[in-house]
Amino acid sequence: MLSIKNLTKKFGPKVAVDRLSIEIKPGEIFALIGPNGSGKTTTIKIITGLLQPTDGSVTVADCDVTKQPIKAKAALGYIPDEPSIWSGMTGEEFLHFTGSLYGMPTSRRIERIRSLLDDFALKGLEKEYFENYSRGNKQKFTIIAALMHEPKLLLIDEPIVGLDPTSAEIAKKKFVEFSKKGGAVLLATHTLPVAEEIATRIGVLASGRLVATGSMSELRSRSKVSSGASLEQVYMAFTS
Amino acid sequence: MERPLLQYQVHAAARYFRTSTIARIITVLLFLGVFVFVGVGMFFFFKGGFGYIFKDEFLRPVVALYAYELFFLVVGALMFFSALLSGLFGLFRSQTASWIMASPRFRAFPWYVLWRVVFASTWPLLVIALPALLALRSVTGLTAAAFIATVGSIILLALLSAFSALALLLAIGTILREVGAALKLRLLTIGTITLAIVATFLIIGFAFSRYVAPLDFAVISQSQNLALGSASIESVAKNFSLVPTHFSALSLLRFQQGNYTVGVVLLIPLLVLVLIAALVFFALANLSYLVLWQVLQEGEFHAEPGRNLKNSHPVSFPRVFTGTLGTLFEKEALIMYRNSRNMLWFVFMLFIWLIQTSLNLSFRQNFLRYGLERGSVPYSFQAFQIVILIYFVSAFVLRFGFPSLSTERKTAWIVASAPVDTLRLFWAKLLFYVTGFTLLGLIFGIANSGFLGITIGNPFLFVGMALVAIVTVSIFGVSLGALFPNFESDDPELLSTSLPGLAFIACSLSYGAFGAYLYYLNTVKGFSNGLIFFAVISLAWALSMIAAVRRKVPRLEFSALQRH
Repeated sequence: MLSIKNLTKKFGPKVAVDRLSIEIKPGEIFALIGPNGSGKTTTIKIITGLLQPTDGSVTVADCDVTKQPIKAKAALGYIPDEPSIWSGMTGEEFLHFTGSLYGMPTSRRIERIRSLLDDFALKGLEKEYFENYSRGNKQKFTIIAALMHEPKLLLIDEPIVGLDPTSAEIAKKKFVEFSKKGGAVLLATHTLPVAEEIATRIGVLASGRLVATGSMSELRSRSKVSSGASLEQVYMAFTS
Repeated sequence: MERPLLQYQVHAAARYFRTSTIARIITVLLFLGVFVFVGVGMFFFFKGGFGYIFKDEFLRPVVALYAYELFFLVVGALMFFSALLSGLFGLFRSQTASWIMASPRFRAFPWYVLWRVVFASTWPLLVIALPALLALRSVTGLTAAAFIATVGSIILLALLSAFSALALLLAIGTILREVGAALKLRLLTIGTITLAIVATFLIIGFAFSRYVAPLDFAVISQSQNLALGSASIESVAKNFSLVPTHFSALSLLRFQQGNYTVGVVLLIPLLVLVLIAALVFFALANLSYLVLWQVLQEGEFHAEPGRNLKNSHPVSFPRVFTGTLGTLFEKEALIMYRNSRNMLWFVFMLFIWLIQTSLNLSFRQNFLRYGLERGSVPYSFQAFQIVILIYFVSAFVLRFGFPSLSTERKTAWIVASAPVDTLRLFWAKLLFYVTGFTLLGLIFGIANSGFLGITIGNPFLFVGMALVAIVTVSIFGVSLGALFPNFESDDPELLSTSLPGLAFIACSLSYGAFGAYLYYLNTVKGFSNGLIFFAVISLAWALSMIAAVRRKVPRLEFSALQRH
């Protein structure tokens, strides 16, 4: 579903992503972890088309993101780390707006919005302006916007920051449900327990390079920590 | 505390040059070239104007004073109103305020806002005022000391505008809070302060239309009394005596007449006014600012679901248009009219344009009063209307159209990650702003030309020329903003005064002056090829801008990191 090959991104002399290669298959949740500035957000932004790669290629649903960006983008849903939306727009307008950009008919949008607002316990809030929402509610609206058009690949940058425990639980269930239906998920996070709980594979990124990748047990054995070690201990072993 | 904050602004500007690419250096050089060109153009424009004014011995003092009074009044009013608007959002809606307000040095924040307002409202006006003063110096032999003193008086006006505007905002807030507390009502909101500002606009607008705009120059100058050695300045001085800019105007006249002592003494009341306004601002900032800021961060909204159940009927978006372009177009309209800051600036700029229009109406009344025919407005004055029209349209484009792509820096992910060609976002913006400014410009253009009787002499010519110029300037502004986006700030006022923003002002004003000159040549000498040339140049310019955008925008990276 997602194929990243030798991806490099430079900002002037600074190398943010260095020859990164990742493959994510349908039904997989791939968690990308790493210190601040390791290139997680940059990688996701390149896949979404917010940044241009310096070198290498990114393919989403067999479409190259630089050569066939429209087709590639139609297959993905993006949840950014910062849920910035125009303050004068209501939650409902925003969801219709994004649905419209993905070519969803109005009736389908109404149906999906109703269902997802119920799932995230947002019913009754959708007619307020974004400037009035809490960070958590803004985040929930961006999650709904990403799920609404039923993408094949979900790109999630810090999924549960600002969410209350109940909403975080709902979000995690939604991501797992999404992958079980055949969707692929790329999750960039510092919340290691979330990655440990829902990811099928984990990649450790440091200074733009993928220093380790594999399932939780594979990472444990590679990092030479104890068999019951947490992801936090594995992370420390790879990055310190 | 405000020093490190102000230093940050200086460092941000310096970073622009440190990270310069060749393209950016070329842009700066081009800008400087155009800037010098416009400065020289303005110098000669003012030199010609002053030369004409001072030709008549009898009318010289009164016409000069009248010109100075109007000049300083317009400059002062612009600085005051722009300080009022920048101050409102700087004081109470700044995104960077929270961490400073949470620190023990929170009292420094209003001062930081004040200095930003002073800087933002002073230096572009100095850029306009300096060529005017240099022209005056060249015509009247104004001494260097008098020149410096006059520049000083403009700086005093800027300080007075900033101090009094911010003090007025704090006073309005304090009154609303106290009255609200007494009546147990929530009166203190950004909306009520905005209403108070609009009321200030209306009161000043009414005073202007009542006392300044309808002036009959022949009466106030007593020019019909030829027994006098020169026309009296008394009526003009009396008419403007209630506005603080009067001191600057009268001081300049005295400097020009060689009466330096009186010129300097006349600036003392202005200095006293600045000190009083500073004192009031200091007192209000210390006493009320923190609590006003705290109250204005509150909302009445409950984040808990189920507390805000309104109409449960689903509302779709877009409501009017269809398709991707329609959706993006309607989004532009929605975020424009639902943004109180944008709307306040829009009303403010419209207000200034209405004042200019009321002046033209007043001119017409004076023409008719003295038996002149509607079509007999001097050609140079007709041509000048094109400059004014382009000036106002450029101001709207600069404030709204030019920064529109840069202000998407945080929200760009929504459209950029969707299966939409990024160019569509540009087309939607272009369509929205070009349509809006064309309608606005044509309404004012037709109204002004109608008042002055221009359309009688040249049916369709003025309007046709205005249409070409408005569309070209709008395309230029929106395209330039897309070619040189700045994702380091989403403050439209800051973005407008960036180097590409200033280049836009310089180019569009030069273009307006060029168009007006060709219009004048056509009207006076029948040089119609000039207008055809103007249309061709405009078309080529607009198309080349669009072509450049088509090349750049699809590869645009919506990140401030692209600058490093």
